[in-house]
Amino acid sequence: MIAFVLRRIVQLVPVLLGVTLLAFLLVNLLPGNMALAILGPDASAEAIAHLQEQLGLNQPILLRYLRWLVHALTGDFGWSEIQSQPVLPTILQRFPVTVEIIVLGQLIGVALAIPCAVAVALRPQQWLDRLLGMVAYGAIATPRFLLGLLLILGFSVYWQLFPSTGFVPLFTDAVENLRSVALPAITIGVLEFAVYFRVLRGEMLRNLAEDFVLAARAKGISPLRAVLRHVLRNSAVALITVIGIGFGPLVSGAVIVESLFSLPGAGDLLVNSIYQRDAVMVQGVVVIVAMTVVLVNLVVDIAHVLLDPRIHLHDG
Amino acid sequence: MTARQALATLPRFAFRFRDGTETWIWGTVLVLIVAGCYLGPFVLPLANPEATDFANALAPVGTPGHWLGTDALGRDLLARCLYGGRISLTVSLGAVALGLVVGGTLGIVAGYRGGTVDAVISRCLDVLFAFPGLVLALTVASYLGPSLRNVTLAIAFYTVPAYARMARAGALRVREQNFVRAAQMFGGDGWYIGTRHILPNVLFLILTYAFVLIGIAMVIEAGLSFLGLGVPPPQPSWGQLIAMGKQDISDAPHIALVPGAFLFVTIAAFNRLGDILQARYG
Repeated sequence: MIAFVLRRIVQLVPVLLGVTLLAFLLVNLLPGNMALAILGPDASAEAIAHLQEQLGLNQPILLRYLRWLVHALTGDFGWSEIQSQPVLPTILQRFPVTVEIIVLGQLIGVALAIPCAVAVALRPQQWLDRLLGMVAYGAIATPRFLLGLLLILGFSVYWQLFPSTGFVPLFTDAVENLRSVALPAITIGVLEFAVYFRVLRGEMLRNLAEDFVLAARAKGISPLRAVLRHVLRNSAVALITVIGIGFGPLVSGAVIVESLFSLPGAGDLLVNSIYQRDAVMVQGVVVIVAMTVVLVNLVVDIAHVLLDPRIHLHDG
Repeated sequence: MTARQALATLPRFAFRFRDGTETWIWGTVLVLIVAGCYLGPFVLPLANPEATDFANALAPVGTPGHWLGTDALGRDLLARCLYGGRISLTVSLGAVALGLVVGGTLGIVAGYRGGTVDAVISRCLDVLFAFPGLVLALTVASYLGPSLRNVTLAIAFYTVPAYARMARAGALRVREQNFVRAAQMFGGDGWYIGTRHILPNVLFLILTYAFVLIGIAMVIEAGLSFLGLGVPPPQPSWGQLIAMGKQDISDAPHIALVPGAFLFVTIAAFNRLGDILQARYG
């Protein structure tokens, strides 16, 4: 097991290096003058040249990348001239908001998907199955900002249950905090529910046909017990895989949702830094986000092996 | 219901329609929308999408002359949605076509060649997959600058690796078949085997995948537009129309919901047709 984890971590090194290189090239090689963005359009040519010299923008791109990488490895992602803030602390300060809506959204998705899938597995092809199938289809075809707007229309404009914008930190007021992230979390959770429900349903119906379920039923346990104890447990592994695959799209969704509901998360930081052409900050956020995606997938892989003894490590 | 019966019902869909009927319904919807967007401005008596008409501002859905209503400046929403759909569709179809050609080629080469070529291509794809689609598209679009071509390219950063992975898996499967072995023994070179034996056998897989990917590309395009980094005005796409309607969501929700409905139905149609095709032939 430890050897497997270590091998996976070693395999990650080139991917992580590639991630930092691509992020660096995207932000630094493409048109758009960083010094001009900092000084504004009225800056004189001498001032721009001077700042370029100061920021080291005249050196070869590979040298600049290596210097940035060495600093990043020690936790120094640079200094944003435009926002007058260090990059990494700013990102870390914004991260909890993003984590909160993602975790709450995932909880909503899983908490809805499991009972729905169990109910459907007990009575496949009945009205509930068809109804939930259509709901899941509709949810998958709805872009998150459109769903968020519909929720604002219903829950903020008509019923005035939740605020449509603004954020209250968790440690200031826990209840207000939950109210302020309710709609964003639901917006994220509905799509997660749809994806998890469809995967769980398919996986559970497949497992229902396995011999071990037939054996359990032959021993006399009820259909509900058979589904809960034998089918659900075997289908949970597929759910873990989907959570891993879906993490990237989930982050994309968080960017949109934070922007729509004006939440001060990492996605909002990314979008605003792009508006301000703050290259150093964009680069920092993109690298941290991509590294998080890679690490979450590593954790999912490990969880996969821990949960399913049928997976043989030496094959992987 | 026994477990065996449950298995027997599995291939059927959640809807009660017979397969064929459903394909026809979604196919017709899709043809109507695509034709409406590309041909509508020539054959329908549409208003100018930018013409303001303050006497009829904020007209609700169903107003004669403005069947889908108007926005705060009195601009006709039907006309704006049909013109806007061109941008959404062109960008998504373009990005998926790029993905199909570039990603498909990369995937087939990686899958058929194997070895070092495969390792290099696969590692590069791993790197691209580490970036969430919208985050990568946002970064690329903002640094290329907004235009129809650049937004398409930005979304292709998602579709190319997605396609490459799909085509690689297909090529790996076909490579082991006997007819490929036979062609190799007859001395066929890589180009011949790739184009004559591998490509025809993965082509259908690749084409059905296009429907699913177009749905995803449309969501990314709409997201970019919603964040203000899509194709610049005066050509607002569906995502931008929804973003513009956001300010009036409490007084006149139809301004955001009409383009929202166009977007939803189009994505649903592409997704559903993609699923049906994959279930039947994939």
